[in-house]
Order: sequence, then structure tokens, then C-alpha cells
Amino acid sequence: MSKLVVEELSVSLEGKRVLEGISFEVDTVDIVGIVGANGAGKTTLLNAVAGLIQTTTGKISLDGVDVSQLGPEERIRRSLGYVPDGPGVFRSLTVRENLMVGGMVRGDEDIEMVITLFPDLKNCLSMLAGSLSAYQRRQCAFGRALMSRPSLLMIDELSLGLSPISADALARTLPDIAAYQVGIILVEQDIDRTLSLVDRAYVIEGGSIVVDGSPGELLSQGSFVEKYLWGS
Amino acid sequence: MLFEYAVVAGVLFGLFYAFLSIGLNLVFGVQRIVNLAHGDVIMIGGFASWELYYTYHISPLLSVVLVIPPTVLAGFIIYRLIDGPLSRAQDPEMLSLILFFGVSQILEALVTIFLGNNQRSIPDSSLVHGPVHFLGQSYPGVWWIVAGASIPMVGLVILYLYRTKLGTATRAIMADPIEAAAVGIDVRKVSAITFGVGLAITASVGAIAPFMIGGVDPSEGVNLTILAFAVIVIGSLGNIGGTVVGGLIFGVAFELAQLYLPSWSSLIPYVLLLAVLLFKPSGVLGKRVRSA
Repeated sequence: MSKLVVEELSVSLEGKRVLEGISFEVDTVDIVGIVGANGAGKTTLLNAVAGLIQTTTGKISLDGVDVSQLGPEERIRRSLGYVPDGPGVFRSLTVRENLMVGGMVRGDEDIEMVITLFPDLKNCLSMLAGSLSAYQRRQCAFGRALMSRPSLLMIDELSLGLSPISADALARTLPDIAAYQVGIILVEQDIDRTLSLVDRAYVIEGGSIVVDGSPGELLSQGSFVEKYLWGS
Repeated sequence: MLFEYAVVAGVLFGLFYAFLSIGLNLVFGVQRIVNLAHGDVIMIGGFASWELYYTYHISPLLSVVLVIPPTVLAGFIIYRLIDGPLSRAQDPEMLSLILFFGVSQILEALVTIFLGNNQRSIPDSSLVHGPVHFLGQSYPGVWWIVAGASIPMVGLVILYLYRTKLGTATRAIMADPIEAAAVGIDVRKVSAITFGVGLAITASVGAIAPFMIGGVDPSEGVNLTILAFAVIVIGSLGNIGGTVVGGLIFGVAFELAQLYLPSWSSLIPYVLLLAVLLFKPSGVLGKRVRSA
């Protein structure tokens, strides 16, 4: 049984259909990419899976349990982690408090796993998250989401606000995170980078998945390369 | 010497103003609820304290604590009623403004119907006998008692926010309610608790406010709400520590104005409010300008 199963998901925001008939599955230890242009509906899809917005139709299951009607806190409790595309940290809280808040749903404040993955954070635990560099802030955002010990982590824009070097450094932690039996859904605009990181990618366009497959399969399709890579 | 007197009085009143305003900031910070009935909750706390003193001879200092449990309960009930409409609203700040304007009017009308339109006061002797001498000046003893009671009450709110898990979750919601939901915080539950605590601390200050503002009457709510808004805007909306700074600035400015420009002093809340909004809209301690 897959960790996350999304079936025929549709979402309307302010009367406008943003997602239409989305279906996909993710298992723990999978790294799955969802790529597409700005405005394609990627963030909406993650928000819908996290329960932050209402879905119109369709079904979302975690570990075989239908969570479509549950609130976000119930879904996080069922080991879903989310690094949103916003700040990803509570700026007015210290790094340690950010991690604590992330662990609240599990009632555990053990930050060791996070410090092992992101040793840089160790020296700024008592700093306000708002005063961190963009790279440290992103690490803190990852740490905050990992504190609930998710078995599925959704990341909205890994490289958000980062230099290419920092983005690469953060990308290198993904296999380490996956090694903790964490499945990863990575949402990105940067298709090149995503294909180098994931086991499978879904391309979303106009609110629907138009093509999917392993990076090798996608790259062997001339039409895919022409449409999504040559232009970028 | 008069200057020193005004500054000391300003600090004493400033601590009281911080206590008077902190609940408004708490309620605003969490759910962006603009509680226009804030002053009316203080007024009800004042009448409760008056009633408890004259009927049961309970010290108003004890009433500061006694009014808390029933107000927390009332806060939960009110929150349950308004949570649905507010979370569905496109502009919750505006809706809360209108809702609580109505609540304010209703509370004032109900109190007037049941208790009459007269101002009532509690004698200073219920708290303390005689003045307090400090640095060669003599001050009403109640000012020191009320300021002294304000410190632990405000301190408790700050301790709650900064030293408890629930408080940390509350500050996370203040920072970003959507991200708080994204890490699994039960935003509704924590907001309901914060709303209850915010109202309770407000009723609580009402129990001793009559000593500082000359009594309690059903129509005092509006002015107290404006005063509290001035204090939290000066300090920074949504920043609880800022409320203390805002209270002290307001208290000292008001006392100095009473000394040097007595006929203008009642304009102080508005002048400070406008000055902050024009020159430092985020408040003295604020870093970011609010989006709304």
C-alpha cells in the first residue's frame, strides 16, 4: 500500500477550477517531483494534500485511510510533513522554538535528527528565525517540518530564494532525509534540477498532469525535451 | 520636582495601561480580531468588582483573579459563535470590527438597563490607607497598588507566551496562522484559548481600573477601547512585549501633558496614535508594517 494516494483530485479557488482530475501515488523512500510553470497549480496541489484548502472532488489517502475530510493537524499527525513556499519559519520565534513547534504534534522536542541533517543550525538555535540567512532559514524550515517525524515530506520550491550553490547544497540533503524512511514530494519550477534529484516526475500544466515517468523515460521523449527543457 | 512627579505617575499609570491593553493585543495578534468591545469588557470587570466589594466585601485585588474563570468560559462560548463566520469571511478584520461594535453596544445597553446609568466608585480605602511618599513626593496609595498588581499580571501573560508550549504555539499562530496549521498546530483550539485568556485578562484589569479612572460607568467602554488601541499601536500591533513599552510611553506622555498642557491632555491618545501611524506605522517595537 502506498503512503499517499491521490485520486481524481479537483480544486476550485474563488469559483475558478485550479486543479482537474489529479491522480498520483507516493511511497516512503520515493523521491517524486512535481514540476510545471508558475501558476500551473503545484502549490495548490500541496495545500490540498495538506488540508489547508478545500478540495472540490477526489480522494486523498494516507496509509490507506481517507483523510479528505480531516483538518491539516490530523493529516500532519498521520506523519505528513510540509515545507510551504512561504517563509517556512516563524520569523519572530527562535530556531529552537521553530523546531519545538514542529515537534508539538508528536509531543517530542528531540532535535537530534534535525541537527544531524543540518549541523549549521546547531549554532543558531537561540537566534530569531527572521534573522537567519536565506539558506539557514530554509534549513530551519526543513527542520521544522521534519520535527514531526513525517514519513512523507512535501517540499514547495526547494531552491526558494537561494543561490544555485545553496540550492545544490540543500538538494544534497534529500537522499539523507529519504534514508530516514521519508518519502519526498518535491515541487519545483526548475525542471532540470528536479530531474536530477527524483525517482519519478509528474509534469503539471493548466491544473492537470500531462505527462509522468522516470527522469530517463521523460528525457527519452523528444516532445518532452523540446517543450520543457529547451526553452528553459 | 513637578517633572519628577509626572514621570513617576506616568510610569505607574503606564504599567496599568499595559495591563489594560495586553488582552486587546493578544486577541488581535492571534485571529486578527479587532475587539471593539474591549473597553466594555473592562467595564463589566469593574461592575463585577464593585458588586463583589459591596455585596460580599471582597477586596478588588481578589476580584482581579476571581473574574478570570467566568470570563475565560464566556470567551470560549463567544469564540465558538464567531469562529465560523470569521473563518469564512473574505475580510475577517472588517467583519470582526462590525461584530464587536455590535457586542459593545449590546453590553453597554444591558448594563445600563440592569444597573442604571450612574457612575459608581469603590473607595480607595478598600485597597490602601493613606498616600505613599516617594522621592519627596506624595502619591495616592492606590496608584502604587494597581501598578504593583499590573506587573505580575502582565508578567504572567508574557511568561505564558514565552515559557509554555501553548504560548509558543500561540506566538507561532501570531507569526503566521497558515504555516502554524501546516505544522499541525490546532489553530482553532489555540485561538479559542487565546481569545478566552485575552478577554479574561481584560475583565481582570477592570476589577482595579475604577481606582485609576475615577470609577466605573456603563458608557466608559468606548474611551477605554480607544486608549488601549493607542497603547498597542504605539507599542506594535501583535507584539506583546511592545504593549509594555506602549503603555509606559503613553503613561508618561499623558502625565507630562497634564503638567504642561493640561487642557490638551485628553488629545494625547489621538495625537500619539496619529504620530505613530504617520511616522512609524509598525509601532515603536515593530519591524514590519502590517499588510492591512
